[in-house]
Amino acid sequence: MNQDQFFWLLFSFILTIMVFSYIFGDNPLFRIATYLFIGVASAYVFVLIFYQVLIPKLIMPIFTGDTTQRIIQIIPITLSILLFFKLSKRTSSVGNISLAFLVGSGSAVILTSAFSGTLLPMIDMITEPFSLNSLNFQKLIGGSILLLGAISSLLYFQFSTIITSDNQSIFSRFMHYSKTVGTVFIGITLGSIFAGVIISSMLALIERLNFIITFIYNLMSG
Amino acid sequence: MKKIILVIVSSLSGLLLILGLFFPGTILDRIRIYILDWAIIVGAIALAIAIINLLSVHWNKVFTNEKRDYASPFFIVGFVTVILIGILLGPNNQFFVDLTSTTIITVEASLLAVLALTLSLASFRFFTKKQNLLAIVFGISTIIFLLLFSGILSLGENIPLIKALNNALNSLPIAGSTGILIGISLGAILTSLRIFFGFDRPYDRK
Amino acid sequence: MTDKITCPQCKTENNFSSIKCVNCGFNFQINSVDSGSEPDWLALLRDSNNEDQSTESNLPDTNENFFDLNGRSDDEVPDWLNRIRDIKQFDEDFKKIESGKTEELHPLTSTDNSDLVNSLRDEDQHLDENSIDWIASLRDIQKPVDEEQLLNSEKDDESHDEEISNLPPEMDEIKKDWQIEFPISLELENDENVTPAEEFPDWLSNITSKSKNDENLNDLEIPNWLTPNQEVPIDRANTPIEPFNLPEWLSKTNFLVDEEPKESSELERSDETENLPDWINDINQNKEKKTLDESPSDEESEGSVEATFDSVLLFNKLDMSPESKIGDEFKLDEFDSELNELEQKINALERDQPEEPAFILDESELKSLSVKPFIGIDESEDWFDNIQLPTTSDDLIEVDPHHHKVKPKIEEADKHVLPFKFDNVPDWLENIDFDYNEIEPLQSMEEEKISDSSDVDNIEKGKLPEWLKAIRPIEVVSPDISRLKSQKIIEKSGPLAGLQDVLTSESITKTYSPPPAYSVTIDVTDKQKSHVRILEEIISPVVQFNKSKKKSKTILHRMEFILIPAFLLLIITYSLFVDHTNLKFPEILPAEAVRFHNLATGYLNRNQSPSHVLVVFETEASSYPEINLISVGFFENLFLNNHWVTSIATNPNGVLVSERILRDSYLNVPSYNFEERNTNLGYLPGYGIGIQAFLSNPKTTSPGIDLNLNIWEKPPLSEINTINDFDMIVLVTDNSENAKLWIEQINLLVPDSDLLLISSAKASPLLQPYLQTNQIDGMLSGIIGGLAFNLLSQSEMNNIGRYWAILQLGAIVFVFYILAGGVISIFKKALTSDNIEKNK
Repeated sequence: MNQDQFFWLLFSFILTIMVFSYIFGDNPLFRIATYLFIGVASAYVFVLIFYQVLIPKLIMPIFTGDTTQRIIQIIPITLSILLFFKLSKRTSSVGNISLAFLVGSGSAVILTSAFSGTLLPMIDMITEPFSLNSLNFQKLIGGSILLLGAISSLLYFQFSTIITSDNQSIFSRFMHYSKTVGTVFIGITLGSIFAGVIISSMLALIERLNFIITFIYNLMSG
Repeated sequence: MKKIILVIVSSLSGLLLILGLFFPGTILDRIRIYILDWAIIVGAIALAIAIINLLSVHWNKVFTNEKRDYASPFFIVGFVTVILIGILLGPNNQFFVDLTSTTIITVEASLLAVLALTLSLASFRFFTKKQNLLAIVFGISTIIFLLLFSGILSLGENIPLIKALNNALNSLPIAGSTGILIGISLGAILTSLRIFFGFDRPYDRK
Repeated sequence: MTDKITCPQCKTENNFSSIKCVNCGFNFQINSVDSGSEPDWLALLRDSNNEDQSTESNLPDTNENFFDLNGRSDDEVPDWLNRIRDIKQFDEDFKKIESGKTEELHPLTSTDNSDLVNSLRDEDQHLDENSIDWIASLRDIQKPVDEEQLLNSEKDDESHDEEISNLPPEMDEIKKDWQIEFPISLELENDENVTPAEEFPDWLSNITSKSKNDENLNDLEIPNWLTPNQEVPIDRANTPIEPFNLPEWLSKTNFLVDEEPKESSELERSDETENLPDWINDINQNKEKKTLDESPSDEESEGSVEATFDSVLLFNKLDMSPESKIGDEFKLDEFDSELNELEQKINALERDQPEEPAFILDESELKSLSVKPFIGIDESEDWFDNIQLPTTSDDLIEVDPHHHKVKPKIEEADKHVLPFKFDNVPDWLENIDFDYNEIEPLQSMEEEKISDSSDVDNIEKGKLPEWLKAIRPIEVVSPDISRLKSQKIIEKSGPLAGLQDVLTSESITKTYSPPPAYSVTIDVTDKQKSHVRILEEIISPVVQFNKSKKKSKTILHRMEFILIPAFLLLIITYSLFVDHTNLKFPEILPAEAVRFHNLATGYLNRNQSPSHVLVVFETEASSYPEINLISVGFFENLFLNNHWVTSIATNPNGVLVSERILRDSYLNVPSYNFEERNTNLGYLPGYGIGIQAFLSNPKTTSPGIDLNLNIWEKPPLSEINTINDFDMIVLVTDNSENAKLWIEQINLLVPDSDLLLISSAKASPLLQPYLQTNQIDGMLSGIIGGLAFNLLSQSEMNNIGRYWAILQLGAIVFVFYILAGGVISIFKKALTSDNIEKNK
């Protein structure tokens, strides 16, 4: 282990200990560590933006590009300059045009991708077991459960109250039962996600503890 | 008047993007590429402006008498150091990479590790808060998938029906996930259409 | 000028060509002819409230009209002259009554109560000997010469114009004239212009004497001689209807109904005091003498009758509500006696002056009527005696100089022509709405109360002054119902059958009903109640704020807070020191992991040449330990096969993670030419926009980190023009949302490419459906996936095995925590419920 590696290991160890001090509650060490992390992370992002967006996409075409490219570059330069007005409250409305352009572009991207990338394939997956071309009893049962789970999960998110009186209509009863079934499927999915979070966090804990122990061991062993 | 201009800009940019997708190889496709590039630039600039704003907040915390924070100097120190090193040495510089990676990865991983301890406490107190159907199903599902994800249930190949049980348990969350994904996509489509037609203007909120 | 004629009696506007008044039946032609006999003073009395009005609206525009002097416009005719005309008109009518022209005076078309009273006045004028006498006496006071002159002047335009021009229209002038007429009171006997006043009839003196005690009228500036018996205030619509001896003709006409006793009128008389001038007193005395001489019964009637100023005015207020029969029955006896006396007198008059009655009703019908036709009429014996008929122009009444300041609702008042022209008519009197019945019921009730007591006759009750009563708001006194009711009633029987808005024959007090009581309870249906319950269920959990006090941490809570994390740390730390070399690896491998392995090794290695693999790092720095564990085997495999690896990240930290993971994998495969075969495209901003831009045009979208180096011109990227040129796309993610973006865009733009997914355990549940839809070709999810890939590729398993073993222990600990927590909570709940039951 060279000195650079040791330095960084030591730095990492110190930071780890500082963050782990949160087990005993909020304390200055933890806050220092987190503030330092935020500063470094934000600076790193700024540097990346500077080197990967500002210079190659905004500044370089002006100097190296042809006339057409320069004329075309006026638009993003203008939009970028307008966006800087967002720093002040009084002039923040000037930067709304750039945000509108950004929001409009993003909404179009999401619209097309969500429709073609998620909605249609998911519907296709639900209906595929019921296809007459490849009917299979096992597939049919699986497809039925899948269909039931998908529909009931969607129906779980009802934003209307359900009458619990005896004089319920058939539709309201159906909605009530579907919500109950949806609760089960939603619970299963959320349970799996929660279990995954536990697993991920535990792995991080194991890795960090391993690091601490290893560092201490190596430090003590020389 | 200004609102109409904003709506026009938003809708026009979205419309050109969609048309470029439907007509590849045409001028509309070219325009789409340009719009995407401009959007990347504007997005990056927006992120940079957010970082500058963050710096100004901490700067004010350090150099003004109001609400002084003892940790903000560390932010400024870290920020300035990394900015200087990054701009001067470049993002490919090893020192820069080591500095940033060590700091960022270490702290974030440690934070997730602390989360594990918090989740342990939350798991113990789980059923003290709510005991309804969703909570019970959630708890049972968590237990099952903890065992499944940890690989405990995948140890007994010779045990009968364990494979089928594994497959069945693995496929259980798919139904719920499908419903959730369909719901998310529907919401995203609806929100996009609202923005597209000008009914919702998140860029114009005061 | 309007082409309309204004009736001098009721001031109703009629068409130019009309002969008779629509309202009261006043004959314009007759009046225009016989205009000489009307005394001026009566006209002045009538017009006393018209001084402020323009003559335009009042005076009809016709040559035949009595008031049209030489065809001049009415604008130029002064008010005093109008009064003169009115007086003359009245005189003519009286003559007609005498001559028996009752039809002309009592047209059946009359719909207004005032017309009725006016007609009655005319009849009375005709039939009453006493009235004739005193009228004649009043006439004698006037100079016949002057009267003739005046009459002639009406015909002679020029002379009249001179007079008009000379005569000032103001009240002072009129007063002066009046003073001229009655020189005794003003001590103007020696004045050249003053003519001695004639002796006034007895009735007038009675009025004077009775009104002396009336103090309240001082404020109104009503001359005392006009207020002989101000027992009933004018605002009291229900004047004490007192029996009086009417002539037979009047009784036959059945205008009389049961009258209220005169007791209240006597009491009211005492309340009203006004100092009459001497000349009026003289008149009254004279009148009294005459009446005494002429008819002893009249005296009795006069004495018994209480003619008050208010009652006289109320006589004109034809809509005065009749008293209800209820409560009046006990007064009938008293009224009957008085009535009989009056009837005797009337009969005596009728013998001399036979007359055709306009309306005939039996006495029984008379008595049955609860409402008097002359409501408000002071039905005392002397009511008609109290009428000062205008005989000559000398009988000019003093006009209140302040009268012009009065703000009358003259239009309404004009509809009801006062038979008596009073000077100094107070404001409240002028502004009385004669159609207004609201106050009548209460007044009648009040009067009933007053009249009920037997001691009322002798004892003066404290009463509100008239003017105060008059200014009382109507709403205080009576309800609106009776008024509304009475306005829309069409008489169906009786002499006024078929007429609308006439004085009702029913007692308004009968129709009076208490105000409607509104219930405060709300009618709620069952459905509404259920809706309310639902709403409460929705709202109540939010609204109900439970005050949460900061609970002091118990020892158990502190123990929990320390022990549980400590136990977990202990287990994990212990596991780290345990040897895990003899681990039993999973035997059942996930199918997606198997597919991943097949694609990653078999497909990529199918060609002899290395493949171009695009690795997308969509991870955060926090997931580095897990991702590193899962993906290390795959990257080692890639490096072992010398594949070209191009990495890109859509989040800034992903760049660092990618660099760290690839470097760590490179450490295990030192033969790999990392610098040459590995390209880091850096950070891709914009998320979905950046992804679409990169997939559409990777070269321009991601120029790389190094500015000095164009990485797209160097291998491996020199062979890459589009995304399809990459043999494999590997998505390394710990975030399902960002991974979803990549999957959707790849499915949209490059659907034919192979996509492999390496995801953490927390992102895999929401990315499993994409595996089912074949949008993802292979997936390594969680540590099991990495373990499976390592097992399948027979890579080193020490590190990952160790972590896997420790993870299993940790998972068991978590399961134990969940179960233990559930059991403890159940026991706690059971204990608390037992305690509650014990406490109960």
